[in-house]
Amino acid sequence: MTGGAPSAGAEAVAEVDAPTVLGLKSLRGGQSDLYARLVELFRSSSAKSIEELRTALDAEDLPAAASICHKLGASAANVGALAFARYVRQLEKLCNEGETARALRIYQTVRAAHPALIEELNRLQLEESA
Amino acid sequence: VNEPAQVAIIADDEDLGRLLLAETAQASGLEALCFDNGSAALEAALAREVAIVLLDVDMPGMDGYSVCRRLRAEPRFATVPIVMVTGHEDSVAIGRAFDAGATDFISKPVNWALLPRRLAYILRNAAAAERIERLAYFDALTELPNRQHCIDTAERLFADAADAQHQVAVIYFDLNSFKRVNDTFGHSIGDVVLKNVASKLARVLAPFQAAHDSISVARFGGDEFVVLVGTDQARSTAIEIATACSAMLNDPIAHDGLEFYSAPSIGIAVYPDDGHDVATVLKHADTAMYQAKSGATGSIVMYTAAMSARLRDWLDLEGRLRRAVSENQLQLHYQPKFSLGDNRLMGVEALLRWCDSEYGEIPPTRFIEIAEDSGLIIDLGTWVIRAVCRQLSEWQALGLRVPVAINVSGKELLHGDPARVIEVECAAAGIPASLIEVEITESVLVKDSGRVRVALERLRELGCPIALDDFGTGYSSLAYITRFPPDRIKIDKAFVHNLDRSASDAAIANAILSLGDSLNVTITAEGIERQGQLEWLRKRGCHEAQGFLLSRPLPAAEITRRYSKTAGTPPEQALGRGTD
Repeated sequence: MTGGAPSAGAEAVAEVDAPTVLGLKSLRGGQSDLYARLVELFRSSSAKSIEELRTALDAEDLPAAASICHKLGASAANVGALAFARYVRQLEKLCNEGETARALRIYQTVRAAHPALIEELNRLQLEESA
Repeated sequence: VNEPAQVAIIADDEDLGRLLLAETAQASGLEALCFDNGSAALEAALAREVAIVLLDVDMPGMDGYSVCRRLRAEPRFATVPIVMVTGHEDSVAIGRAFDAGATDFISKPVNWALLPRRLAYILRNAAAAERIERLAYFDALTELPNRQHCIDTAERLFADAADAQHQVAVIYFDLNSFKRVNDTFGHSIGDVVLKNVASKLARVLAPFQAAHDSISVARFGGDEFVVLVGTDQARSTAIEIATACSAMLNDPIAHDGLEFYSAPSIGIAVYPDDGHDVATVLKHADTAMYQAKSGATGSIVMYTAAMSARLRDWLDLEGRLRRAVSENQLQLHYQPKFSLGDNRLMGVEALLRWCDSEYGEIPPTRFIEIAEDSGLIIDLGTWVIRAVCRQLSEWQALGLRVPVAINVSGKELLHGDPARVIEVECAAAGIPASLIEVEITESVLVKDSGRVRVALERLRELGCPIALDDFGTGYSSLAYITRFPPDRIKIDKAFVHNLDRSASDAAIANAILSLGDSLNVTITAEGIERQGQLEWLRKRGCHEAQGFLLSRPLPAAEITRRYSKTAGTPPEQALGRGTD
């Protein structure tokens, strides 16, 4: 059974993991505004990925969809959007298993949560630069 | 130990992951070079020194496993940490990562707060592994690869050559006078010479290595170096390299106002012509090197199958000689020398004879060479002194008082203690040391004048006269003779042979006779075979003569028989007559 797809509201899916964000902010390499840079990268790449995902699912090109999910899930985890990343990985799994109908349902959840997630990330980023 | 190069190669097709890995590497003090695909990362890693490689597994085109495998195939990536970062957490993925040669495996989502510490730990381990690798595979003194590294490299080159159907040449270098430098000036100077030789070899090889990446040099043992040449023209390239190295090493090494010579003997053997495995080809290059050593200094010899047969004989003879010494199977013959003034027997020269049960009579030139090469010369020298002392004691008891000359080699003077042996054996036999005359060749004086002079002075303090043998053939300058005047000079038979027929030989013999007069040294001519030679020498005031015309070398019993009652009286027809 591959069921058990999380069925939470957009707010829960858009939740950002505070300890992960703290960890990212503690990373001191060369970038002074690392977290802002990560959020910026995620904002543009995730919007693009969600559109590409839609196209792939509409075309029932599940391998392409799985590949997009793989990258999107990793990106989400890398900004601390762990709940969102879990949904995307679930979606990747369903694509790999050929579960088109269930994949489309999860996609809707992910897509719906995306604006809220971006809003939350923007807030955290502002907190960062404040 | 070199610090690892501070570059991290990062490959991840996901932008955020790549940025975070770069940040993590920079947080660990590394310079990050980032790529969004495997092949670009591989190309960059192969082009430079790298401290660590961080690879995402899933990338378009070449994946992380393939990059890892390809890097591990390069010897210089043997200890470079390669860390795989992946969202696959199943055991198959982990197994594949480690099978590909990954050092560590990091699962996504990555704990970015922890990763810098983990990288620091991995880098520390890598530095330790690098140090262990250096200790195990590099020579600490010269920083060249060591014997094991050389053998491993040769194994790899031979395998490549077998696939590509080409050759690998092994050039074996041995420094001719290194042991003497070490013994005379100490190990610190020996180390200076070795480091200098290593850097000279590296300098000669650099242009060859620029053209072919499969040429390497290693310090193989004490004063032995090996160059491996794995090119399609291996044999001719090896000869070219050996010639260039030989020329470079023939130049003296200047240090602290002194000059040291490190001329090499060089042997070359080629895979697969001279052997099908590393051990055999190395052994044959070594055999060729020994062949070079027995010839002119600095010569280069290519291996031939006949050399192995000769070496087997040589090793066999060395074992037999060792037994002959320990089991008292050697013999001494004694060749008399006579006064040309009153024809009296003045002494005898002890000459070693060895008749082996299988090989028969072995010429002294052959077995003395074996003895010198193997170090057996010290035991052999001791045996001779003991045997001579016993003989002198026997003759003394019979009322025959005849001084015996023994030949002492440079190696005995440098590495043995002939004075102590003579002192002990003379005391044991109850005879005075003054009855033993020590003959050295003039080249011994040149070799290492300081150390030799001390050894000779000790002999002289004991009362042993010193004779300079084979005079005129070596390189001695008159300065050596005036600094350490011998009691006797023996004119080499090469000049005696034609002195009554050749103006130039006569001139040399005359010069030596005048030298004897002015230094007040007894002159003995050896190799007298004709009456004409004898008369010529007698007329010009030569003091003593020795040779087949007067007497062949005789067994001790024959000396006893001929001279015990008539010692001091003219025993030979030739001496008494003065005509042919």
